[in-house]
Amino acid sequence: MNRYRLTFTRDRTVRFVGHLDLAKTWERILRRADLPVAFSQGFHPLPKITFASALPVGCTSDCELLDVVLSEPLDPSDVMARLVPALPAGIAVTSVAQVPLNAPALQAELRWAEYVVTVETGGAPEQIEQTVQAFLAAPTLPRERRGKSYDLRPLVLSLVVEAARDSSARIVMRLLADASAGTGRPDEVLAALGWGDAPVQIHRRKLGFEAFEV
Amino acid sequence: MSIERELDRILPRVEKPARYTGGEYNSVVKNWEATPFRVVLAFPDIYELGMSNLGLAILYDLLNRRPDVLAERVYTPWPDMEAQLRATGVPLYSLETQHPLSDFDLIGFSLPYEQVYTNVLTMLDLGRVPLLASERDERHPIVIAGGHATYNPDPMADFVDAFVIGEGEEVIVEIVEAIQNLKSLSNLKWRVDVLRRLAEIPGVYVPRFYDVEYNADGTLARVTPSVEGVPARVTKRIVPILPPPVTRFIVPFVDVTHNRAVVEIQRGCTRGCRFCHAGMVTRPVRERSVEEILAAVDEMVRETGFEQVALLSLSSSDYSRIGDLVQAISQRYGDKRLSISLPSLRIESFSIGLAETLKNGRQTGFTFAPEAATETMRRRINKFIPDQQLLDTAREVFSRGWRTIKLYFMIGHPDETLEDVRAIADLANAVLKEGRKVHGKAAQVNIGCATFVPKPHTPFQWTSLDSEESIRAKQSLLKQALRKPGLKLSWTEPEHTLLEAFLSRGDRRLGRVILRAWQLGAKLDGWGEHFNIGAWRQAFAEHGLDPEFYARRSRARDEVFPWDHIDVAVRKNYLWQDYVMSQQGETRVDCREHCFACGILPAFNSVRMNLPAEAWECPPVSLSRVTGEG
Repeated sequence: MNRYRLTFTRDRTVRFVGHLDLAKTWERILRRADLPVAFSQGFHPLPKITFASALPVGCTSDCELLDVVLSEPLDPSDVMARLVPALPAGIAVTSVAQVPLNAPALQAELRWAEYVVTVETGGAPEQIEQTVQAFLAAPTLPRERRGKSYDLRPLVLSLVVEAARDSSARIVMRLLADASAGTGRPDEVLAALGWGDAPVQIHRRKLGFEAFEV
Repeated sequence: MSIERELDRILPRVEKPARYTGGEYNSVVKNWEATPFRVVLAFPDIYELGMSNLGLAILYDLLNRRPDVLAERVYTPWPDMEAQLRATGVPLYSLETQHPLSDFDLIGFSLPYEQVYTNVLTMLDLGRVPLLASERDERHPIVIAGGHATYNPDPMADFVDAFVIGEGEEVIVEIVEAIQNLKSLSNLKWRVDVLRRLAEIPGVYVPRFYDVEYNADGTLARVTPSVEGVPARVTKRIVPILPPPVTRFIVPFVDVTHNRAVVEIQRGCTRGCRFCHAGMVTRPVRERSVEEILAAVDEMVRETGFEQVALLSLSSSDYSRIGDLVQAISQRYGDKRLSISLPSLRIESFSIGLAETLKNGRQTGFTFAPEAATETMRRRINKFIPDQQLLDTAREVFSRGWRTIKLYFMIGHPDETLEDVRAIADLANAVLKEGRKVHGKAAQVNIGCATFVPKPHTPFQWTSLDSEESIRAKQSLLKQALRKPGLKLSWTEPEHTLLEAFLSRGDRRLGRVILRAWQLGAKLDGWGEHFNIGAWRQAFAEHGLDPEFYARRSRARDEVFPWDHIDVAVRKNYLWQDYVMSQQGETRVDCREHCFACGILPAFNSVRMNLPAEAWECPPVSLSRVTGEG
């Protein structure tokens, strides 16, 4: 058994494809690529594919990660070559590396995710900065999602206005993405900032793991 | 205006937005500017259903193989998306290049069933194309439609410029070429010239060139050509031999109704079930070779990555080499985690062997369609199976490990009594009893009980839809008799059946009813939550028409039907004889055993003569036979 780590991008075309559908899409990509994917044992054998983190629906990304176990040892460049023609528009593989079979699960190692958000706030640059500062100054930010209340504030590691113009801003947010400590959602941060209904583009540009960043 | 930019605002607000973004693997995006002829293939129901439609997949593949043609797709938006499109003024657009429907040269609708008719209006309206064919001019696309519902085209004649009758593989290319040849010409008569040219193509019906006259009692007097050069009757098109199957299916990102690749192993059916529209209109039976099917499955897996392939036909058990095919597939894919589905199996123990060979550890239910629960009724509908065979087969299915059996029945067959319906409950109970012997409480019998709708071009085209009172009585009998653990009943609401019934056998006057019902809010009629019979009743009333006239009336033998000018090559007299036989409880055997001269051979004798004997299940035609009755 051989474990490979794929880094891939998701562009606008697939921004509304949910996590489960993406998993199915990957199963089919791997089958088209004719890669010898290993399956779990049992009554319902499942392909051994695991993702680092579900990308929120509506977002694009250039730092998605998945691990797949193949039953034959293949050169990573060979894996890459087989994948390229099997990919749909909107998904591109940027790297393939072999990792130890017993390396920790991606999900367990993930700590944070960084998003670049372009949002049409409708306000002046100073207002935008003020709104962000007020957000950061708040000791707690109680919110409710799917009927559960939680505090958003500790999930936001940093929030920086990179550029602000009249009525629109580019904001970089680093959010906690930790299996045990919690995961922040960029749309929740926007809602808390009061821009929940504003036209927006959200791009995930970095994932931070225990021992490395992508 | 950029549709793309507007979509950024709209899509986050609608359910399942990935249905409206395209980009799927194997979808074909061509250069709009550089491609001279542009077709949009429209499925008038939601994406999930449209993506499962084989007919459009075939045409998409075929048209996109031509360098001078592009074919794109569009489906009916769900009401939330429709509301967003209307609110923002974004027109309904194609998935591949996001062009409004009005920008295309040709719009091709698939009409597989009648419940989609109002969706055609929704799509034309959102796509900025005038609803009425008579209001379109040289600036607008030509709107064509094909599919099983168009064997009775006139209810949709107001909205469709030209209908394709029969199989589309060859004729679609002839239509494209005809329009292409006239495209450079630009004058006020352009549209009429194009339609005149289309009407000359065999299998194309252009309703505006036909006059319809009615009798005082509301029945049809005659349908006659109003111009020279169009045929009095339009004969359906068939392909003499099935062309190579599509293998590059579009692979959806989201889950769809049939999320799989499909290979049609045969077209047509030799069984002659009297209620079955498909069985009558898709004659003759043509098979694909085992070798061609195997090669196609290989290619599909490679080109789509689908984990499931369906072997499609109206009656899988009748494919002449079904045993060989199933053996070969299981040898090749047994350990490759490919699931193969084989629908429409006959109720006999041979079917169990087939399903068992294909089964890859996955224990889904076993489905049979006896259609009726008494031998008398099954004789009437010409789907004869002895009761004992049914029970024996069920027992064997359970004993070989399946825990669930699905049984499909219909109620409302001609001359059906409450006793016939009670027999459905008795049979379901008897089957469950067999299941319990093997699996105890884990045994399950699901009973699907639709209501029979008389269809055009079938032996039952003369008969009435069962009365609403009777349907309700039968349904409540079943609901009571089948209320028990281990049994599950599903049925069709009588109003849904009524809609299907009046549209199925409607005439050209229904165009204004469809338009009015749509204006009154009828849409997505196939979806329970949107179904609005009130709008339909009001539309009928406003136009002085009666749905019961179309749905619930026994027709005289010599009544002129609204579809009589459409020739499916099965003679009306043959159908009448079959209807009479039904009333007398007489059956006809599989027509491979004995040719009943349904009409296919005389209609297509020159085609048949040039084919090898095994190409069709119909007997070969020699010169001496050609003079047979027509």
